[in-house]
Amino acid sequence: MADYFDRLELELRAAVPRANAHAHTDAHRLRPTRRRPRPGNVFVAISAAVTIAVVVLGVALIGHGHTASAPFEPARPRPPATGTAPQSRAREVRDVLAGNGIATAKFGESRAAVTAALTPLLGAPVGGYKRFLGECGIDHKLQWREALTVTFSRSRFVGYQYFGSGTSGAPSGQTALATTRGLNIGDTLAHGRRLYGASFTISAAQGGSWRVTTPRGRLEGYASEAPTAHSALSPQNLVASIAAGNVGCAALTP
Amino acid sequence: MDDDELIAATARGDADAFAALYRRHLPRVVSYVMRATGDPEVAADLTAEVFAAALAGCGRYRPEHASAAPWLIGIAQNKLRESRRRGRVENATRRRLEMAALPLGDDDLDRVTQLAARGEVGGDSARVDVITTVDGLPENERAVSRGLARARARLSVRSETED
Repeated sequence: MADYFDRLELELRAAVPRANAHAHTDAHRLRPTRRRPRPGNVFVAISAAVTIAVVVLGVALIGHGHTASAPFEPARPRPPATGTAPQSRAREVRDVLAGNGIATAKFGESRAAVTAALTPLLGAPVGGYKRFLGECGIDHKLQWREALTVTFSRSRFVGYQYFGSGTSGAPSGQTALATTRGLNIGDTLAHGRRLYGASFTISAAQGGSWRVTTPRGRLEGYASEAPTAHSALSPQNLVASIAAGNVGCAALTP
Repeated sequence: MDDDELIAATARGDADAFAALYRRHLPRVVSYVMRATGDPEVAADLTAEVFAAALAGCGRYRPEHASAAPWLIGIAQNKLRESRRRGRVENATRRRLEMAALPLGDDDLDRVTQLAARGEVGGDSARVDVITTVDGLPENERAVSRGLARARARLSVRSETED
């Protein structure tokens, strides 16, 4: 009798046509739908639009003020954003993850500059400056527990990957990092689309991933499944990681 | 055919191509999830989900390397993290692809162990780094605790050497 892995092969063979049928659907899942609102939903739709406009305006004003006055964007307790998966607790959130670096540390800078920029946010790195062996251009890394890995090539900061504290069991109350527009670990992909617009795309690749090209470079990451998701990839799936630059081979680069 | 060609053929609907990719990388994936979980039953279940997700993602695979192994280990890493977070092995992709749930017998569990051992042969440093990033533990400690081969442990110690 065939063993488990032989039976699995047969199941996978049979699923190939179904996978191809789904692939096209996944590629377009985040395109805006243009459903005509039903009469009963008009008031709800108007209210939502007004709420979003107020939030966007507020975020823009806050962001502008801090860009001019401080090296880091402000730390503030942030409630779960509208339409995102609820986060378990309000934490201090810093909107510092950019396509060209983190906070004041930009790609191309030295280890000392990166450490100086990140230590006030996350504390000292854990385990020191570690050597990589042949990782697609990466030769060293710094790590802040499991939450953040910063990668170096020839002693220069070239990339980072942030998983947040949600998957690492880090102490509650630890500072969380978000993108400069406020995309958090645990936010829905739909929220990413609202923040970044049409340039925010999702893919079924590597079990679910997202990416967006910003004026400061490309941000990308893994997507995890929402508890209520009925498919492998949907706008309700959650941001599981945030990365930019060179973080190594394809296994770490969605 | 190399991995890129197999994946491209799968995206065009060639089931034989995906079966070839599956057979080529099965030991490596089983080995990875077995070492990460230590449980043959969980490892078998996760392996099925990893290959289902790979099948679902074939159309968006970016051929950047000579081997699809980093891509598959990346999927495994993602599935493992999500499974830990949710407290159960993910099966969403298999459900979406309407794949049947496969029962596991004692012989199957032995087969998992055998495949995991095969996957250990020819391990590479890239895989070590991926595992280190996932679990945040010094690789040499993990190697000792999980009884990996002495040669792999030496490799891990080298990878974690401080300047």
